[in-house]
Amino acid sequence: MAPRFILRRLLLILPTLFGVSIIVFVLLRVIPGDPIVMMIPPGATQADIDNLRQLYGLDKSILDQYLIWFGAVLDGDFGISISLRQDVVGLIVSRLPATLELALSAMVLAVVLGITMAIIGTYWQNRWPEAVIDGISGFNQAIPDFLWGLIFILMLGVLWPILPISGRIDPRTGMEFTTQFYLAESLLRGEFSILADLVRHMLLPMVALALPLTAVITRTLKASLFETMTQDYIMLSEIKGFSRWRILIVEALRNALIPTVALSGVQFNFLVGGTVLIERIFSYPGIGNMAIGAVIDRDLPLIQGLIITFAIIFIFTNLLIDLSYRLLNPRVANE
Amino acid sequence: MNSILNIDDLHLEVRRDHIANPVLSGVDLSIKIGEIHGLVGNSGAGKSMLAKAILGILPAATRISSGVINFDGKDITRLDSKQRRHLASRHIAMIPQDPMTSLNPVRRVGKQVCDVLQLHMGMDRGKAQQETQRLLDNVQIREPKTVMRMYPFELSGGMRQRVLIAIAFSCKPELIIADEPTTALDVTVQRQILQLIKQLQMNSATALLFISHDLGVVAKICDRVSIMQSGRIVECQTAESLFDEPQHAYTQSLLETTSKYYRFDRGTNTHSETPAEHQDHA
Amino acid sequence: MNEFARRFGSFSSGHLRVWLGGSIVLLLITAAVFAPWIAPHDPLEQDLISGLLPPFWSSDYDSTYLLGTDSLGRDLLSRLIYGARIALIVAIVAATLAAVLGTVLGLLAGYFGGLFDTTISRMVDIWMSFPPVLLSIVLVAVIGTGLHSVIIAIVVIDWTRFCRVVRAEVLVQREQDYITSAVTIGLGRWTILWREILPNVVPLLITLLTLEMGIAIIVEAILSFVGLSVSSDQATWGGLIQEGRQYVHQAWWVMTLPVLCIIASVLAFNALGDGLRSMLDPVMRR
Ligand SMILES: Nc1ncnc2c1ncn2[C@@H]1O[C@H](COP(=O)(O)OP(=O)(O)OP(=O)(O)O)[C@@H](O)[C@H]1O
Ligand SMILES: [Mg+2]
Repeated sequence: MAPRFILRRLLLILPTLFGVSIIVFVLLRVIPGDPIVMMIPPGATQADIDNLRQLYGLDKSILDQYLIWFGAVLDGDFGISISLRQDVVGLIVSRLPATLELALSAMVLAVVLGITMAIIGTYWQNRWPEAVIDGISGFNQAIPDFLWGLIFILMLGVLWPILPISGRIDPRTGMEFTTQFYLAESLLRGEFSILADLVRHMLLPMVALALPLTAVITRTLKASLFETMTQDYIMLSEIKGFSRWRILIVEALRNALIPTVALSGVQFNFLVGGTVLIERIFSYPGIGNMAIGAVIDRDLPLIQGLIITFAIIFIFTNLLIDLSYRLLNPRVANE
Repeated sequence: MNSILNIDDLHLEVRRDHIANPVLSGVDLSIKIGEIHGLVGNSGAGKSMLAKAILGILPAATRISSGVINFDGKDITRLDSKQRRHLASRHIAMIPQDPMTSLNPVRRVGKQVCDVLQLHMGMDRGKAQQETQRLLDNVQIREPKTVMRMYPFELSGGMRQRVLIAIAFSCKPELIIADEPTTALDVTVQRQILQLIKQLQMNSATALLFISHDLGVVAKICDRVSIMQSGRIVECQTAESLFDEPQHAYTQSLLETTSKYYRFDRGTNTHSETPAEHQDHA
Repeated sequence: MNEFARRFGSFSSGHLRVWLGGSIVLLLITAAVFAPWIAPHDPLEQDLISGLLPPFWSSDYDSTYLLGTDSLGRDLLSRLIYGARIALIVAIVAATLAAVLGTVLGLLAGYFGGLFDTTISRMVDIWMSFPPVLLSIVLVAVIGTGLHSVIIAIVVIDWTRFCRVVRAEVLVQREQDYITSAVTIGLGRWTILWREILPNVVPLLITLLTLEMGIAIIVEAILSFVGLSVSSDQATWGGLIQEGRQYVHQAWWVMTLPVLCIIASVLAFNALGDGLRSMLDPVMRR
């Protein structure tokens, strides 16, 4: 059953991460360019450089470096960020919640929007609502999240400035948060004006992230609903006397969602990957934004920590998708 | 005897590439209250289309060009979808051909029986569940409580067909249409299912339109038989006289291709009430 | 009447898109090739006194700068024209290389099957499950910034698009009569692959290649936007967007113009690709 399945999948995380860590480490060590050069102040002596090298363990062999690094990682120590001179774990932990809130809201939005559009398109099959929905999702699919973000900034941030286009919260609100999960915390504490401000800040990046996934869900689910609506059991429920709405939602939707989840699963990972760019565009303080900074600064410890963090997020995203697949499909649910 | 269904000069056509092909060309058929009426004819004669016309589930490309289908004194070809839904299941139900594909794979079996009861009989959930249990018991499903919690893929074809029969009879409709209800099943199960249908029909006031290729089976369970050939009913007789003195040449040729001993076999095995021999939970 | 409708239908869907997309692409190519002659200014020439000048439709417009200037007083029109150069170089080189790599692997996998096919297909599946943007940024982190890195990143990520489609097409073609007859004539495997199968996937390849150029333009814009493409003093559309983003409230046009350039060229490549597909497809099936 489900709990054992989850446990098995969680145990699988460890070897996966081990593999990822090796690849990441080796790749980033063979790259050209010396990170130390970037941190030395002008006029530093060779001795200073050697000292720094030693400090970051860069004078040892790759294998030694890996063993030292991995040993530390197992202790929860990813080292010190070269560019920000702070503890990598601390940096990531402080930024991760912002990304998680953004990515999760975008996923929920994409799923809700995608399902709604697919249902509307199926209900009014061959009539104008279906044409409108096909038009929207075709257009939607042609434009990547990057361009959506820029278009939103120009349209809703500048041309008709109704929404903020930078940051996560208005600094003037002055709320003291105890966690970094601003959205969840303000909701739980009943601070609704703060919540509204957070939502206003999140809206544009969230929609930009969600739209490509929405297009994929709409298209696959609609095709799958069409197919499902021709099945014998749908005809039988028509004969039972149920309305078309009820048949669509109660009888067809769950069946149609099963292949949709399987087909669009990978797009959820793409959404998580998209946070990197979208956070950059909207100056949103999450780990995606930080990742680009780290790459530009060639901040090895931070890059390694971030890649591993993203790998963990991908593993959990896939787990979530597999779980929903099992929940939807009674055949595999009972295995 | 009064008839529950009266079809008069029904014409139906399928449009394909702007050309209308006639599928039914002047069908006359009347089904009496409480009878089992057989409908026989070769493949493509239009039997299933006729059934769909009665049930109001014609494919989009088809159109009734003329004629009436009178059910209980009202012409049901003119109903809108809402009035149609009121009629469905409550008054006209169906036993489908393929039990493997006719139950929703992601809903529990019990729910699929309950929902009709809740929709048409005004029962609350608890009451519908009790009634479902009784109905499943009636179609000789052992341990109905367990089966109710199962998904269709956990049941064999015969079991699923029993569930579908239970659904068809659940609202005590005046007419049930069974379009080749046993062709998808293996031979031993076929016999049980036929007996079950016959027995349930006898215990109710339901008329049954029984569509089949198999004259032998029709001879066993039907009161009257209509023979259909390329979109028309060419002959309608009581089962006995049809076999003894077929009128239409087409009927004669149909009879010749069927094994003769069915005539003598008629009547045996029909009314005995053997419980289901196999109840395999696949 | 019917015939007319069909012809007109195929004209409006295929030819029209090819003409529209093609002319914008042609414009782009002209701008890129003749940039030094067309551009009114040196794209790097700064004029600090006249920073953030508005384009021609504004009342504060300065007639030396048709589309205005950026914060350092560099001529926007010239920067856009030079940006088209980089965009087009990346689009053509990266898309072509990705097409060659993907096609070769797809042809071999599809035609020879077996373990080679299994390995390649498995690799494509895994490859395609990574978020492309993240993958390209990590790749650039590994191989360093610069034009060649952008191209390598696109090739490494997007060869799969060609490989998958070509392989599937070869599987279909392989079963068709003319291949069987070629085999019976006694042609060698390579000859069949080169002379019989490849020409038949060419229409499909042209379509894919055109679409890939649009994708490459976006990837280049993304990487130059985040500062991982060519060095930042070179004019790129993504770099202009990044710059304009910083003072979008003071001078919205600095960001808008390159965004419009990207959208126009991506839509043009898409229209060209889709148009070619609907034009070439029936020919192929016939
Ligand atoms: N969905 C459809 N669209 C168009 N034509 C159809 C459709 N379904 C059936 N037909 C046509 O209608 C005619 C009657 O088909 P029907 O299914 O009613 O025959 P049948 O008597 O039930 O045959 P069988 O014994 O094989 O079930 C056939 O000629 C068939 O080609
Ligand atoms: Mg039939």
